[in-house]
Amino acid sequence: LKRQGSLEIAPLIGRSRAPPPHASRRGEVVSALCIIVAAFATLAASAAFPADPDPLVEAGRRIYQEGVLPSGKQVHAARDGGTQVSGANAACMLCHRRSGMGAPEGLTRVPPVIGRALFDDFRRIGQMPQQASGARSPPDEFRLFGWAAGTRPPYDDSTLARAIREGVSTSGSRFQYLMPRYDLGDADMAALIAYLKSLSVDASPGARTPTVKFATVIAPAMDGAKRDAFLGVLRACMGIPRLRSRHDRGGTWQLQEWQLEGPAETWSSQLRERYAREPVFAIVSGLGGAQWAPVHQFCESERVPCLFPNVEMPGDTEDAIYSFYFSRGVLLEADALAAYLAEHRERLGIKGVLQLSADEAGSAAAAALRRALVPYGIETRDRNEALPGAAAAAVSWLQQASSKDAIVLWLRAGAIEALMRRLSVPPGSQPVFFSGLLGGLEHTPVPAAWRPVSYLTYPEEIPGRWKQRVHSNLLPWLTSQGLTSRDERLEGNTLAACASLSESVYGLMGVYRREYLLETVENALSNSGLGNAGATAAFPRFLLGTNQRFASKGSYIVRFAGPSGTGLAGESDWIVP
Amino acid sequence: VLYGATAVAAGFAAEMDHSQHQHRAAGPKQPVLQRSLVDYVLPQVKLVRADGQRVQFPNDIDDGKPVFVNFIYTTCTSICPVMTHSFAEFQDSLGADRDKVRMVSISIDPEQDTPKRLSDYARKYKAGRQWVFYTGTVEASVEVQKAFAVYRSDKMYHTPLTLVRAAPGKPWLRLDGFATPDQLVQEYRRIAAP
Repeated sequence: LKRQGSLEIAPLIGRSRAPPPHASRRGEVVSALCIIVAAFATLAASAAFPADPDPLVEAGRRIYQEGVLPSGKQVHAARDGGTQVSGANAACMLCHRRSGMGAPEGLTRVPPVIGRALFDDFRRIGQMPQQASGARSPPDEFRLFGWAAGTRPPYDDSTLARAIREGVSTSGSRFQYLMPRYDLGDADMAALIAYLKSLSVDASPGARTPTVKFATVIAPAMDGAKRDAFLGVLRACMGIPRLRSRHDRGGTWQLQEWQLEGPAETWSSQLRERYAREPVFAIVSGLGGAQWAPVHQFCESERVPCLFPNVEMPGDTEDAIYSFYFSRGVLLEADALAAYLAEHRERLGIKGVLQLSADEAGSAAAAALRRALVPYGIETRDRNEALPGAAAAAVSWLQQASSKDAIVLWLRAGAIEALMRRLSVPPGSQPVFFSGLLGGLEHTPVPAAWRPVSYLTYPEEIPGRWKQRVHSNLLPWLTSQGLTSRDERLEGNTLAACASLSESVYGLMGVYRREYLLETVENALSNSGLGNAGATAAFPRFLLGTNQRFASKGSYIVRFAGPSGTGLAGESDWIVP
Repeated sequence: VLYGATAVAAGFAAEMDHSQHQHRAAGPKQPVLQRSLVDYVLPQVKLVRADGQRVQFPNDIDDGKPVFVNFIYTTCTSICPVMTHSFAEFQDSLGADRDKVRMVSISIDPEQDTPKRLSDYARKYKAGRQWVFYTGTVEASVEVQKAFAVYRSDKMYHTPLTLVRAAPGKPWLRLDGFATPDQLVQEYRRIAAP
């Protein structure tokens, strides 16, 4: 915690590396032709992979992303020692990534393969800009495009073809083992090279002006105090002046607040209309409840990175590319509870589960628990009653629980209170599980008589350790911004979302490409433990990897320590279903 | 040296040596491995196998057979598929001898790599019963990684590596770098017919 405490502000204010006055500027040398090609590349680098209008580039895209030749046959390649790879396992994108910007890998770096990195001449070691101190530091292209681009002659089509086929660079050195030698005919090679040339570093929409535009999304009818706490943190964090890499164009961030209105069916058109009026580079955090699917679909279809909204349940995310979430929310609670019930069924003396939900989030969680328990042969009976109204029906449902049924209540605080007014003691001695996320974590209103049999799913850091983090990391930051804490977990997570964006944008080194941002988000959060950006996140770990989209992956199951109050005891292991 | 000047780790050095310029026509070149013999003491931690069984890790690999260990994570797209592919081809090359070895792949991203995801991954590479994948708590995984001196706090910075032990109680042969299937077979032959 000491380490986190000393680091929490760093990603928010950027690195203290001021741009020199003669900062080299990117994009000025790009010809009109390149801009046209880049526009096509933007279309090509999409979630749905629509065909590139140039058939040659499109053929190259399939080789690069899918490992498929124009003939429909698989790409074949071999590594030193003769090991063969083919098809999707030979796709360039696996290592060089969707953006073409490469990635850190072990002690090496997979180099960028975008057109500029390969074909421009970066041998400027003798021309490094001199700093005031007299020290010379390499231009940012060195770090962006890899040391190689600054030490070898630039490629042309023929030397690049030789490199891809034979593994020898223009300086004559052999590539490392990881890079296979590709068996590509002349036409296929021409297509691949055309695609590499189309991979661009030109800015995506929302980042083409000195002011980089971001938005956040707020669902209708959110609690006013929550909304204020959320916006207070986000406005402060997004408004902090950011020092940029000297490769950058400088400029400031602008945050648009997209407040949604009306029923969820209309959100999609509201989002599209806001976006058409003024495109944003990315969406940072957000505030919502159980319904987030329309926002999720917007992010995926418009190819806008969307980082860490505060929601109870993400959209349908199996194949998400552009959407990052803190966790799977109530669906994660359901899966963790299933794992817990399966492991402890004998100790708890249960054979079945009787569930009660009262709204969309609850019934989705109940359905998830039912599915997750099938492999264990634990049967569930589910009922959705519109609490607080239907309290009588809910009570009679719970009274149907047998002594061998665990009772699972997917209810919010108001619904729990309405239910408990009519059922002041539990229906029996069987265990009762409450959703911590819906009920309010340790503030879930569980009456004294229910507590001896009650458990809470708790998919966040438990209060003791969380409080330490609040005092070390969150409160000092809030104070520095003149803010008063109103909802620590919401504020901490919102700040973590903003800090993740900040660190990821810094990692772009001025290449404002949305696909590259997805990769720098993954890199920023690949450190085990909380890392820098997660210093205020309300989870034990805040961690991603390649193509991962959920930063926290587990849940505790906890019990109340006493008949009243918010004290907890006897938490389970961190269950990762 | 297209992979960057930071590629100074042993095992990469030879590939940065310009004297080794040659075309593929010169015949398949084996990557250079750095070999070292080390006595690692394995911690008494519980790991979870891809079949969901929670087991005492050191005991689970101590059945007397030669053991081949690597560290992977299933969402890794570059280094890990290469190492896993090597293990898969090694297994095929062994043929009927495959049951005389134990192959072990330990996830360094255990919260993502649930037993279900690991068993899907194992199936994708047609892992036989002698090849077992392990996950577990983050703490247990980190403890095992530290015991083998492979731990890095950021999994993106892991390096290719294989560990080989002839039998329980013997020292570990540490192979830093990409071990090809042929090189793994050579190690097995050395153990089987010393």
